[in-house]
Amino acid sequence: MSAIAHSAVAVTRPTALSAALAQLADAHVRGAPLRALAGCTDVLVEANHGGLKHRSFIDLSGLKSELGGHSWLPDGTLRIGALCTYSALLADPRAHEAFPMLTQAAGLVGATQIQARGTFAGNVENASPAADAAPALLALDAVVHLQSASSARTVPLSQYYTGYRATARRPDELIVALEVPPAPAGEQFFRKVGTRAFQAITKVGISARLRWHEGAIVDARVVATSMAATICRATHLENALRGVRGVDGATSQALRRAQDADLRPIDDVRSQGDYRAEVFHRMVLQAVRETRA
Amino acid sequence: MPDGNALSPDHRVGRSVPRPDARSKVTGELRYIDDQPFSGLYGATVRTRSARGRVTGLRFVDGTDQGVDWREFAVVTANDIPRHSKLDGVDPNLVALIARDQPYLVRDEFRHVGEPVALLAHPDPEILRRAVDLVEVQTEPLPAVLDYRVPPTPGQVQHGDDSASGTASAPSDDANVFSRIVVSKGAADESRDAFRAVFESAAHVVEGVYETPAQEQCYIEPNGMIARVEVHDDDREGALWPTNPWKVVIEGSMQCPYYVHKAITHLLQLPDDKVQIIQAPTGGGFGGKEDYPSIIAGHAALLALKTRQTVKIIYDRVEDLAATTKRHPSHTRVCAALDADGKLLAIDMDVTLDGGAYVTLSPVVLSRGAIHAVGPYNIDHVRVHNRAVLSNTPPHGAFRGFGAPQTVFAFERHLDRCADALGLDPVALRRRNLIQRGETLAISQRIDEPIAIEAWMDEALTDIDYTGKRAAYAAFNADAQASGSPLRRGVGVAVFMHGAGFTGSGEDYLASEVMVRAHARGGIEICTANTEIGQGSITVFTQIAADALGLPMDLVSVAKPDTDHVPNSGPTVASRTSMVVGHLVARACDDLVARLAANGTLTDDDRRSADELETADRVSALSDAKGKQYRPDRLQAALRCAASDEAGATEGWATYQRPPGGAWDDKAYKGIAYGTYAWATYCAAVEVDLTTFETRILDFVAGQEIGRVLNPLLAEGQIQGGVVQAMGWALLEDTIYVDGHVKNPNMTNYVVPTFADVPDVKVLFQESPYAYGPWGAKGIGELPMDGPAPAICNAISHAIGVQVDTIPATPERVMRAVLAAERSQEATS
Ligand SMILES: Cc1cc2nc3c(=O)[nH]c(=O)nc-3n(C[C@H](O)[C@H](O)[C@H](O)COP(=O)(O)OP(=O)(O)OC[C@H]3O[C@@H](n4cnc5c(N)ncnc54)[C@H](O)[C@@H]3O)c2cc1C
Repeated sequence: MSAIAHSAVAVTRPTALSAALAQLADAHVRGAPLRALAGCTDVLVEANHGGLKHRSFIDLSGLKSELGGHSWLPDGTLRIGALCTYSALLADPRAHEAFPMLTQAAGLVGATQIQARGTFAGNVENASPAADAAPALLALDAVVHLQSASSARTVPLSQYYTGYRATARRPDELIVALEVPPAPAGEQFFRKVGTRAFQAITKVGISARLRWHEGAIVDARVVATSMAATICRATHLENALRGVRGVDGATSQALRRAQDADLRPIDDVRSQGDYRAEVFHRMVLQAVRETRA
Repeated sequence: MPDGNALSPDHRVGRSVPRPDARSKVTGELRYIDDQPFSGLYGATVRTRSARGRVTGLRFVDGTDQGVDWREFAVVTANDIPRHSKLDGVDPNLVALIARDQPYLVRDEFRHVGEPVALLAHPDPEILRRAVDLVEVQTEPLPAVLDYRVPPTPGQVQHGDDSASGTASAPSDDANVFSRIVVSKGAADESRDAFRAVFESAAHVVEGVYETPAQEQCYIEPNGMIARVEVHDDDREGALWPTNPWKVVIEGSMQCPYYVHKAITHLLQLPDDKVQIIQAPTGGGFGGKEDYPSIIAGHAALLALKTRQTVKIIYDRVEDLAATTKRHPSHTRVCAALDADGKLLAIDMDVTLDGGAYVTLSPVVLSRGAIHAVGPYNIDHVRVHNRAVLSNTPPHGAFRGFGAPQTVFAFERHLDRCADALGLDPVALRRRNLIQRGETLAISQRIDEPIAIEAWMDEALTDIDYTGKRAAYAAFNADAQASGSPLRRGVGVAVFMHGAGFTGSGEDYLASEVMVRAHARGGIEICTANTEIGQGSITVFTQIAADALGLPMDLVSVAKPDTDHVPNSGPTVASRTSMVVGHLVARACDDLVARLAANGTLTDDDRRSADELETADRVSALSDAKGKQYRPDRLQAALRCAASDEAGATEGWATYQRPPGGAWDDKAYKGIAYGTYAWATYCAAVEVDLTTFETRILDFVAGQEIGRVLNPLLAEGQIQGGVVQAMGWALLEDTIYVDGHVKNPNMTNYVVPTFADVPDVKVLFQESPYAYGPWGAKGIGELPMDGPAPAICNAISHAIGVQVDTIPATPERVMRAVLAAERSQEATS
């Protein structure tokens, strides 16, 4: 039995970004916002579980020439088009070299089929606390480029999530690109703990960037996945990491206390809070050990 | 393998002949039930939404805004079903199975979430889907049993006699107990005191508690049925129950057409010939399509009767996961008495299975679990007390292994705990206790076949390099500890057996029949009710018949299981299809040849010359490949002739015949439980990461003695598939019940392994032919489900030095076990 009766949905497929933005603006004014479709790998799951309320969609697949693929700006910034898939980025060796945490994350999204369809922008906009690519982007200080018929703006990913599955995007806006600034300082560390090896939702994950100088951490970015209502930076923990030279009992306890001030993970159908907290802590220690020069 | 067992090179049996159904399955040409062309109405099920209560009414909420117009719907409730069958007086609404307690549709009281209350039919599946959510089931709550391990309060008693010995405040021991079985041997047969004395005088007594979860079968396609009625012209309108019986035809995904047939004749009160059940291509069953298809078939038939139209009911994955049967959860306490050298003196075991809300198949699942509980060991004094109890969840049912995986897990895990307590190597402890020819199992069955379990075990141990790994991993773990690496490695073993076919006198009661029919191309068609459900039965039956007759495989075909056209050869369950039914296929071939010889269609002139005859080619002690004694061209001519001659012998038949030997005593629970057993040793090597507490299986070897390998590739596939299914049960798969609701009814959160989660599974076969299976074959369908979970958990325990007694051994559970051990270590130091 198909989840959506085909007659019950309306889908438009513009072939120019300007037309798409005009349609979004128009629908917004009429109070019947259009839901964007990129790879559709999140939307279809929602539909299948009966949670999809929208009946009007805007299929972005006609905008590949404007929004597809990725590019490198002269300063080394990585610009990821809104329709850039995981497979596309994974095919670029430069991406692996510059942002290993991002390509590691991309390579662990779903499995081959999902990576061929799923987009970074879809992952960001879907706003799941268990997302894999978005946390790596956040740890790399990525920014979101939004555009509407009348305006364009950028929002740092660190300010993009406004609550559980809520983003700063207005209904008449599209994400047109994500930009990752060049030459991120520090060693990158990414680890996903899923319910199985592939095709797995993250139970707990860490995306960290630790900068070492003369045997001590001088700067830290730590993003937690599935530890709160949104993916988020653990700022107490980041502070506590500064000055750390290695892992001993006291350091470990201090880091755990800081983590607990940032993150109070909950129990759900996929895991439990005590596990998430303990394993996140252990992954922080692993990150310290493995990034130490 | 002794050469005397080898088959001559022109045999089809023993070779990996390709399966005839492979192409259509791989290309997707095959039409599962929902893929078949269909015109008619769609049916759907309105279900209860709480664990226990009484239905007081149904409210059809207005759904005009969603396109739901109630006037367009057909609705069936229990009120449409009479209370007494005109055939046998029993309420037709109760599913005809072991006990008749499960209703097709709730009349009043209900016992689980997802219990069917009403059926709806409509031409548009999407509108139908919305409508289901608009039916409000009004209920009054009743006290539910949400944890099967806790004895019921008086208000929770729903089964068994609570008035006889129980009191108002404390229900009796039988309250909510569906079935109870005691296996006992030695001192346990004498008296409680005598049995206790064995423990009191033993050098060591080791106790442990083990738990296993409900597991979903996860067949390829969810359950589904299409029902139609052949309506008399003067009966197009009117009552649901015609005075003048119609014929009801149901096609769907199933393992056991004749189970569905029995259920539907009872529900609709129709004579046998008015119900026709046809198996649609079925992408796996694993027990999940043993009993529940009867309910869906009943629902589709009721809607078809009410509407006089063809009705299709297809479950989606969520509905299938939430409402249909799963493996019984289990809780087992094991207590072992050992002497100073690790000889097992006595075993005392208490097994509790969670039966769910209705009896369904629980008594027989319990029985198989009880019989396999103590495994292939020679132990003088045994008591295994087994109970299947009620809880307010959907009934748990058949699943590959049928109770044995649960008890084998507890026992094999416990042997490692004993080895640990005694400071022995787990394999050394097993060696000391393995059964030898002439000794008796816990059910007092003497093993008379020539067995060499220890040698077979050694082959698997050598293959995985057990001794080498024990040493290498000890060094690896010591290094890891010293260097701060989080990785730990371990190796574990499980030794076990599995009896094939129905238990005890079960096959006698089934009295299965097989027919083969001559066809005009000079070959035969095999007619059985056994279903191809992915395991390869079509291929194996074809091989058996081709060899029994000495004909090429392409002259043998297998009829579609359809109760109008095939005899009742019993259900496709219990590892019985190749061994029991395959044997009947060979015997039916013999019978056909004998008839052709008797009526003169085949004569002595048609026989092969003496030097052409192969001597070592008997199928088994009960069948001799008679057809092979004739020249193939003559046999083909005779079959062609028989097929065209209406008066002649066109059919050969065989009916089950019990092999000679002792009987089974169902009261004492002693005797010949199974004619034969397959014997196995499985070994696992694992790595546990103490950062995430995840377990990775590094290596797996599955060694087994299975009588005769009929088709090596299929047999290897069966073993690997079963092992992987058991790996999921061991590490990943957990049905989460909260207040009787399944909280993870989808493939995202009910986590089965993918190829990335499992290693290559090495399969080893030994063959010690069984005289009463075709060319010596024993059943293997369930065997591979029994051993992996204990082998893996034994390996995990070896790796981390902490006992892991509950599966799935998820990272969460492993973490808690490790942290608890660390805490207790800190407390003592
Ligand atoms: C089997 C399976 C496995 C998966 N595994 C993982 C996993 O391991 N890790 C993980 O993180 N995710 C996983 N996902 C989720 C999903 O694949 C990813 O989030 C993916 O990146 C979504 O991209 P998409 O292009 O398919 O998004 P879509 O489904 O097309 O869209 C997702 C959301 O973003 C909106 N949207 C998309 N593009 C734009 C745009 N340009 N502007 C504004 N809004 C937009 C859509 O309206 C929708 O709300 C899995 C999904 C499936 C089905």
